[in-house]
Amino acid sequence: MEVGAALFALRQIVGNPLARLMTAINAEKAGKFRQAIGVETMDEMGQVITSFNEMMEQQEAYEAELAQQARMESELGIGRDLQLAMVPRNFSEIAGNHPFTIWAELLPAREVGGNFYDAFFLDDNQFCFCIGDVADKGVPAALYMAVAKTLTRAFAKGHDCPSSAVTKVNDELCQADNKGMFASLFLAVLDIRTGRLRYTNAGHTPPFLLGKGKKAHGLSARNGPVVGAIADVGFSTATVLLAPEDLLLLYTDGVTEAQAPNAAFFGEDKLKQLLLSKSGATAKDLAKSVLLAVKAHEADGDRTDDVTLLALRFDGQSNPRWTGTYPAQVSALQDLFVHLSDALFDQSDNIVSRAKLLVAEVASNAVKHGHRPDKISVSLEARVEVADTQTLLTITDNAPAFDPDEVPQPNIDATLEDRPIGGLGLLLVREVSDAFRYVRDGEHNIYRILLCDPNPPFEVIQSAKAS
Amino acid sequence: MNSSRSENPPMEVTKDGNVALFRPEGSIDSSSAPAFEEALAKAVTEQPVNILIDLENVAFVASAGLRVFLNTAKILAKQDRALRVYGVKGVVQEVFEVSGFISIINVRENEADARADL
Repeated sequence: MEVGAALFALRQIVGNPLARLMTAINAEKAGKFRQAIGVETMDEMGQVITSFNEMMEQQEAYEAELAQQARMESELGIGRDLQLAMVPRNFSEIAGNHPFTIWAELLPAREVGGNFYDAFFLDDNQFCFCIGDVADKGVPAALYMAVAKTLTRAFAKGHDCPSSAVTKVNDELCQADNKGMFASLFLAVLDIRTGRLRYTNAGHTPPFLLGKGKKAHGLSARNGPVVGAIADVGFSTATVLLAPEDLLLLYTDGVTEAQAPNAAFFGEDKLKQLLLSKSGATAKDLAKSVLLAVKAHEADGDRTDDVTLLALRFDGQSNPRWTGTYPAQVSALQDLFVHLSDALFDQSDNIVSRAKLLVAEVASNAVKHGHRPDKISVSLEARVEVADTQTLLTITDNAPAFDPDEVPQPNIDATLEDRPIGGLGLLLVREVSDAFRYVRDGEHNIYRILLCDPNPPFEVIQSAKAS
Repeated sequence: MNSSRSENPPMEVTKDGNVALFRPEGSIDSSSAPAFEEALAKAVTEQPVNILIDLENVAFVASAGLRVFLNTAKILAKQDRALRVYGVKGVVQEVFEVSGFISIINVRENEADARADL
């Protein structure tokens, strides 16, 4: 009895709990459903079981955390895919057979980011594109980006003028409590017929414009603050005239502020140098080159800011209603005027007078500076293109290079006695035109002058909206 | 609708007491400015008159034309004589504004205004 009773007692104390513990361990090993083991005594065996139970609980909590993390990661991954799907990638389809090409890249620093771009037609001739940068990173920025981008597209489609669209985007963003978030936005509308580019820069890094003859300009106009920060502010629209083979580069500061492992920024100068070396490139080539250079600069370092860029190359199409060639002599001007008036027969007095005035200024310039060292006679060709309310004049001469940008502007506030006699011609060309562009192309000076009719004498029939 | 097709017609000049009134037509640009300047210079040197210019029938004034206005205004100012213009509108007005000439050339509303106190 003693032995039997002792064995029974031992089995009760050690054997049964041990068997239960072994069952639980085997279940855990096999990945089966976990169950805490009942603790009946607080002896050594009971303590082992308690510890095991605690271990199981911790394991469970840890696994739940892992699962949660995996779910978050997978959600962020989906978020990233969704965000990248929000910006267009079908660039050759977008440009179609139109006289331009476009390419853009967006690299979020984290899974999701606050950069965006967009590109779409407003109608048959007006091509709209934009770039934006939300002042934050991660999920909040991604949400804000989605809203800002959607609003921008919606309002751009309803407004002919970029500043009106940006004003509406700002008002709408300011309506909601946005936790102090805001975004920079550069919105542009390109008339693919004339190259007229109207834009509103709301606190964004000024884009670069690279012309033929390897000349880079900044689109320097600032047309208002960032969007979403201050309600009821006004924005303005700036106009530049693109010339064939112009390259335009829009980018976010993640490009210039990309850091090398030694913390050096990529920088604006490096970007400008790269751009200058890409004269004549396609939009895709330019965008890919910049991206490659930024990645090389970052080496294997962490990217701290989203990197976004949009490149556009304008090729233009010449569809002149009239072209005439004249010797660069004062005596030829009257002929030129008569032919110019004929070519503009259906235009208002305002357009005709401004056209003659500006052609007179450019032609007089060619006459004055048109003495070639090789004695080849200088001639000038005038070309007229009309698209709705826009008149595009292109004057090409073979005079020695004359860059209007190098000519100092006269002080128009000087008194009568101090007022110099010269320098007025170019001032008038700049100020009386709606946009003016000079390009040196090989042996030729090319002056492009855009005139927009403030009060068109005919009803402008809106071109059919693109579907 | 369009301004004259041929060269600018001869300029009408009327002299009346101490005022010489010029009525150029068409445009004042590098091809027509020399004749315009010559006519003004003749009036300035021949008689000690004040000069009025009616720009009503001028479609535009190019920089060559602005130089004539500036030169003439400078000469007359030294002799205490007046150069006044009127009939400034449209593209001529725009040119006067963007060039700053609106503040250095005495621009008047109409002929009566321009003749006042002369």
